[in-house]
Amino acid sequence: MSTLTYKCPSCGAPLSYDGKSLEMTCGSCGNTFDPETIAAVNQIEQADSRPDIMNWDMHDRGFTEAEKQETRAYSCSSCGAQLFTEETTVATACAFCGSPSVIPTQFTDETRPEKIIPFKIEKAQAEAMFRDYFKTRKLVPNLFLKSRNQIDEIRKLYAPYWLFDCKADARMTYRGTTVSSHRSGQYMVRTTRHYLIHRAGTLAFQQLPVDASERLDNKISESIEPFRAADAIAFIPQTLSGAQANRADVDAQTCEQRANERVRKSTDAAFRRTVSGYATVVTQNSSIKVMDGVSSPVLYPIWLITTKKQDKTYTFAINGQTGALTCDIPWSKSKFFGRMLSVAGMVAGIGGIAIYALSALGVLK
Amino acid sequence: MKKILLVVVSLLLLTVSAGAQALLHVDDKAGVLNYEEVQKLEQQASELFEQTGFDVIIHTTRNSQGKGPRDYSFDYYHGFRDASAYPNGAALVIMFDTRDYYEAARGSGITLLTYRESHDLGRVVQNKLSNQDYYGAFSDYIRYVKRLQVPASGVELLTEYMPYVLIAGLVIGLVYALVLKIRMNIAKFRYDADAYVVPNSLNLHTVQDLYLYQTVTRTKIESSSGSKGSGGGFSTGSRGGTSYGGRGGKF
Repeated sequence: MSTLTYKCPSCGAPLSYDGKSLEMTCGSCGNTFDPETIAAVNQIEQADSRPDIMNWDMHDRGFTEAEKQETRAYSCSSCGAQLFTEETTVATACAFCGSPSVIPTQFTDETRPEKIIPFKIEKAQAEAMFRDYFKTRKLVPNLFLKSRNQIDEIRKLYAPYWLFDCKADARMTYRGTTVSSHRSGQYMVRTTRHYLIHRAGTLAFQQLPVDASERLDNKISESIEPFRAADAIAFIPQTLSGAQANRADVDAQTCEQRANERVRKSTDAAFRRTVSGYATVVTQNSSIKVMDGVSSPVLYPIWLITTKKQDKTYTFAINGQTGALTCDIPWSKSKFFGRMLSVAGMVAGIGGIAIYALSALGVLK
Repeated sequence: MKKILLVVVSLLLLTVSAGAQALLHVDDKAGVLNYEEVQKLEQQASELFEQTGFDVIIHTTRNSQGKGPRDYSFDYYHGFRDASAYPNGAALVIMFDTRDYYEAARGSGITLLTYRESHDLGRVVQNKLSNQDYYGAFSDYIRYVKRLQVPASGVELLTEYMPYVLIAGLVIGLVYALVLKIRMNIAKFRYDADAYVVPNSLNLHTVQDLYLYQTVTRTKIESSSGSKGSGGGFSTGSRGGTSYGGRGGKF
C-alpha cells in the first residue's frame, strides 16, 4: 500500500495539517498553504510526471515490382553513396564525390518516395547564383577572390527526406513570480508572490523534413529549408529523368530523433509564450507526447555545386525549388573586424563633423 | 623721463598682477584637495573670471557653526569677498559636518544660477561628491557655470561627446558586420520546427495559474538617501544690503 506525502512547494519539506488554522504548514520554511492549493499542486505534478512519448507511424510501402523494373540503384565504388535513377539513365558520376566509377545493380526492396518536388531552378540560374555569391558577399576570404571560382562539379540531385506530421500533446509546468514594492515608514517592502503555472494542450506540425541521406551534411540540408511541400507531386520514376537521386540510407526511426528535437523546441517555445505577466518564469516540468505521428519518404530538389581551393573541396547547395543558397566556405574574421572598424570610424567622423558644425551654428552649446 | 615712466608702468602692472593673484577662488578648509588640484581649480576659476567677470568661489568646511546651509553660505560668501568690488558671482559651499552642499549667488549669479531648475545643481555635483571625487565635482561646477555664460568651443564639445559617438559607431559597425556574416549563408543546423507549425493549431485545454505563497523582504531606507537628488528649490536673503540667492542639497 503506498502512502502520499504532501511536500512544500517552496522548499520541498513535508507539510503537516494544522487543525487550528485549517492550513497545511511547512515545519522547515514556515510557509502555510490552503489544503485545496496543495491538492491542486499534487494533481498537476502527478499529471505532468509522465515521460516524453514520441512514436511515429511510417508510411514506407516500398516499390512495386513494375517500378523496380524501371528503377536502378547504384552503389558508388569510391565513397559508398547509395544512388538510384530511372532505368534509362546512365549515371556518369557520383552525386557526392564526383567519381565516375558507379556500378549499376538491380533495384531491391527500397523505400519508395511518396512525393517529389520538381526542380524550379534551372542549371543556368544555379550557376549564376554561385557566381553572384562571390560578388555580393563581403566576408568571402581573399583565397576565393584571387582567381575565378571554377565550378568543379554541378549536380542536379533529388535528396531523400522523411516528412513528419504530428500533433504534440504537451503538459508544461512553470514556476512564476510577481514582484511589488511599496514604502512603509522607513522601510521599503518588497513582496514576491509565487505561482505554479500549468498549461496543457496540443500543437500540430505538418511536413517537417529530416534529411534521410547520410552523405548530405544535415547542416546543408537544413539550411536550405523550407521547401514548399504543397508543390509536391506523386512520385513516378520518370520524374528522375535528367537528375540523380540519392536513396534514403537513413531510416525513419533514426530521423525521428531529429524531428523530435525540433518538435520539442518549438512546442516548448509556443507554450512558454502563453505565460505572461510574471517577473520571472522558470520551467519546472515539460512533458510532450507525439500523437498521430506519421512519417513519409519524399524527394526534394537540390543543386549541389563543388569548387576546389588549395586541394580542399567546398560545397554550395541551392534549394532547387526556392533558390535558397547555403555553403560551407569559411568567413573572413579579418574582414569582419575591418568592416566593423571602418563603419565605426565613418560614424565617428560624421558625428564629429556634425558636433563641430552644430556648435558653430550655436545649436549645440 | 622715459625711464621713470617705464618704471611707473612696470610697478602698476606688477601691482595689478599681484592683485589678480591674490584673488583666491578655492578655500579648502576641510582639506579634501591636494596642492595640484587646488592650483588647477584656481586656474579654471581665474580663466572664467578673466573671460566673463563672474567670480566663482569653492569653499569646503567641517564646521558650519551650527547654522543652516543657507545662512552659513550667505554669511561666508558675504564675509569672504567684497560685494561692492565683486558684485557678480557664486560660492559653492560644501559642509562635511552636515553633508550639505549649497550655492550662494549674488548679482547676475541669482538669475544665472539660483532661478534655474532646482535639481540642476544636484545633477552637476551630487554624484561625484557622494563618490568622494571632490576635485571632479568642483571642476564640473566651474565648467557648468562657464557653459551657462560662454558657449563651449567646437573642440570642447568634441572632447565631451566623442566617446559616446565612438561607442555608437562601434555598435553600428558591429551590427553591420553581423548582417554581413548572416548574408554569407553559411550552413548551420535548424533547431526548431516553427516553419512547420500548422497555423492557429495551438489548442490549450488547461490554463491554470495557481497562487502558492508570498515572501516579503523589508529593507531599511538610509536616512541620507531620502534627500539624494533633492535640489531643495531656492531661497533668497540679504547680507549688508546685498541680495543673495541660494540652492543646495545633501550628498
